[in-house]
Amino acid sequence: MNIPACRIQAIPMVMAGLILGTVAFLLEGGPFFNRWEKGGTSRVSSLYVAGDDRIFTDAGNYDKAAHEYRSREVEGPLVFGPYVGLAPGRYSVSWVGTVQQASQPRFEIVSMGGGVIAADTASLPPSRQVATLHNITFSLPHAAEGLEFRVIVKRTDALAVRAVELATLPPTPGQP
Amino acid sequence: MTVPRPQSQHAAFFGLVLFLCILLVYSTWYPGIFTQDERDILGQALSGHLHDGHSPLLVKFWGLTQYLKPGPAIPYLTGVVVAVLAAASLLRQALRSTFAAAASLCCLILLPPVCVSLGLVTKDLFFIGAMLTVMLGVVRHVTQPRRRHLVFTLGAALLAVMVRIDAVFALLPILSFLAWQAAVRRHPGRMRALLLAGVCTVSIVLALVGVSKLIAKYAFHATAYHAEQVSMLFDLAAISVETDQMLIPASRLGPDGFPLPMLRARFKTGSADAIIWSSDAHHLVYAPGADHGELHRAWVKAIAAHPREYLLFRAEYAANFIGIRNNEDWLRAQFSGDASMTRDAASLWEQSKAPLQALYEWLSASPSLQIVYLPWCWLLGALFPLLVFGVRQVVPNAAAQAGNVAVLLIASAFSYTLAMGLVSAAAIGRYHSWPRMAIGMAIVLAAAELVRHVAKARTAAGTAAVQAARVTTS
Repeated sequence: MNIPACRIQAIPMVMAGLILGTVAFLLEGGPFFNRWEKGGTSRVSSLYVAGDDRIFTDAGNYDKAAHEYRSREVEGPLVFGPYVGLAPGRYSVSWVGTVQQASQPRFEIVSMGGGVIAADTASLPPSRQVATLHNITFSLPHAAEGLEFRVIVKRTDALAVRAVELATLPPTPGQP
Repeated sequence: MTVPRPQSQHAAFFGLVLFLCILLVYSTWYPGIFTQDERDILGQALSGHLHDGHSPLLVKFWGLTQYLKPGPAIPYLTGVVVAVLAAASLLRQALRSTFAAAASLCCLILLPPVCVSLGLVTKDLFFIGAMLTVMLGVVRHVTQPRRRHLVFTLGAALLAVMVRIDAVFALLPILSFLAWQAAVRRHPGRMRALLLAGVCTVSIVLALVGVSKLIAKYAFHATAYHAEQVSMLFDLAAISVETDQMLIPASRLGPDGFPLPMLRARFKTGSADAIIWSSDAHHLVYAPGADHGELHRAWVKAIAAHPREYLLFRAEYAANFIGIRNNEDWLRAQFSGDASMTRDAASLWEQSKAPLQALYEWLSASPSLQIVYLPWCWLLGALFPLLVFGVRQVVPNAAAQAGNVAVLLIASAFSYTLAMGLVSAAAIGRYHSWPRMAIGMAIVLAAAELVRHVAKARTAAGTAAVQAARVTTS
C-alpha cells in the first residue's frame, strides 16, 4: 500500500493520541450520568417492585398474581437488594405491603462493605390494605455503593412486601 | 547458503496450519455459542416470515443449512472457516514470510478475546469474516489497482452491511482511505482530493445501506422492524430520568403503565434490557407495529430540548460500553447460551467444555487477569502496533504493507467502537467482536515485524562481527 513515509508515522501517532485521550476522558471524566441530580432541590423517587429483578426475596415466596413477596414462616430476609449506589445526601426509604398477622420485622439500610447505616424494628398490626409498612430517613455523608433496603422477618411474622420506594430529601437547614 | 523451498511446499505448510487452526477453533466451541437473536433467526428461517431486525441474508442462509443438518453446526462451521481463512489470507498478504504468517495466525486465534469471539455463532462472527474479506480486497486493490479488486471490496462491504447494518461505522475509515487514494491519484490538490474523497465515502455508505435495504425488502421480502426503536427508547428513558419528567410517549409505556419512579429504579446506563425486556408486565413497548413516527418525533424533541443530558448520558454509556464502570460477565465474554434461553437449549453448552474454553473461562473469572477481556484494555493494546509502526526507530522502513494494514484495522476498530457507544443500547461483549479481531490482527502484525527486525539486526551484527574477525585474521 503506497502511502508516503511521513504519513505512515504521523497517522499512527495521531491515532494513538486519540485512543489515549478518549480512554482517559471516559475514565477520569465520569460518571457523567446522575439519576439523582435533581435531588438537591426537589423530591426525586425510585420505585422498586417485587419481581422486578432489582429487589429479591430469600425468606419469602414471590406471589406473581399479587406482585408481592410473601413471608413463608422462615427466618431471614423477606426483601433484599437493590444494590444501588447513592451520592451524599438525605434519603427516605418506604416499604409498602400488607400484614396478615401482627409482626415485628426489622427494617435495615445496609451498604456493601459499610455495614448497617440505619435499622429499626417495627410492630405492625394486621392490615389487609396495601399501605406503607415502615419508613426510614437516613443521611449519607459520603457516596455509598451497593445499598440494600432489607426487611428481616422471624418465623412468626406474616406479611407481604409489594414495593420499596427510595426518595431524595432536601438537605436539612444548616447542612450543606 | 540455504536452498529456498519451492512455493508449493510453503503453500502446503500454510494450508496445514490453517486447517489445524480451523479445527482447533471449531472443536473448542462446537456447536458455537448463540443468543436469543439466533433463536429468533432460526425461528424466522423455519417459518419463512422475515423481518429486517436481523440479517435476512443470514436468516435465509440458516434456513438453507437446516435441510442438511438441523441446528447451528453448519452455520458455525461456515462462519469459522470464512473468518479464519480471511484472517490467514490477510496475514499472508501483509507479511513477507510464510512462516511468519503461519505463526501470526496461531497467535491471533489464541489471543483470548479473539478466540472467544470466534466461538460465537452469531451475526458478529459473520461480520468478522465479511470485514476481514473487505480488508483483503483493499490490500489487493491498493497493491494492484484493478477494477475487479474494487468490485470484490465493495461486494464484501455490502455483505458486511447486510450482516450488520452498523458495519458502516467499521467501514468508514476503510472506504475513506480507498476514496482518498483514488482522489489523490486524479486530483493532486490536497483540499480538492479531500473534498472528493469525503463526498465519495458518504455516497458509497448511502449506496451500501440503500442497496442492503432494497435487497432485504424485494429479494428476501422482509418486513421493516425499526430496530433503532430500542436506542430511541433508551435515550428517552435516560433524559426522562435525568430531567425528572416523563418524555416517553404514553403509547410506549405499556398496558400496566411505567411511572417515572419505576423507570428510575430499573434504568441502567449500560443496557436497555431491564426497561424493555423486563421479566414482569412493566416495560416500554418495542414493537414493529407501534407508531414509529410518534417515537421519532419525541426523541428528536427531547434531544433538541435537552442536548446536555443526552450527551452526558451517551458519554456514560460509551464509558460502560468500553468497560469503564462496567465489569459485567456479558461484557467480558460469553461462554454459554443466552440466559433467557430455555434450560434444554442452554444445557447443550453445559455438557462438556473443551480445555481451551475452560482455560479462557477461568481467565475471564480471574479477578486479576479478566482485564484482558475489557474493551478499554484492548483499545489500549492498539497502542503497541501504533508505536511499532509509527516510530521510525522501532522498525525502520517498516514493511509498509503490514503497517498500513494495521493502522487501517485499528482505525476501523476505533471508529466502530466509538460510534456504537453513541448509538447502541447494550454494552455486551459480542459487539466488540470486530474490534477485538481487528486490534488482535494489528498486534500480531506488529509483533511479527518487530521479531523480523530484531532477527535481521542480529544477523547483520553477526555478519559484521565475522567480517571484522576475518579482516583481523588476514
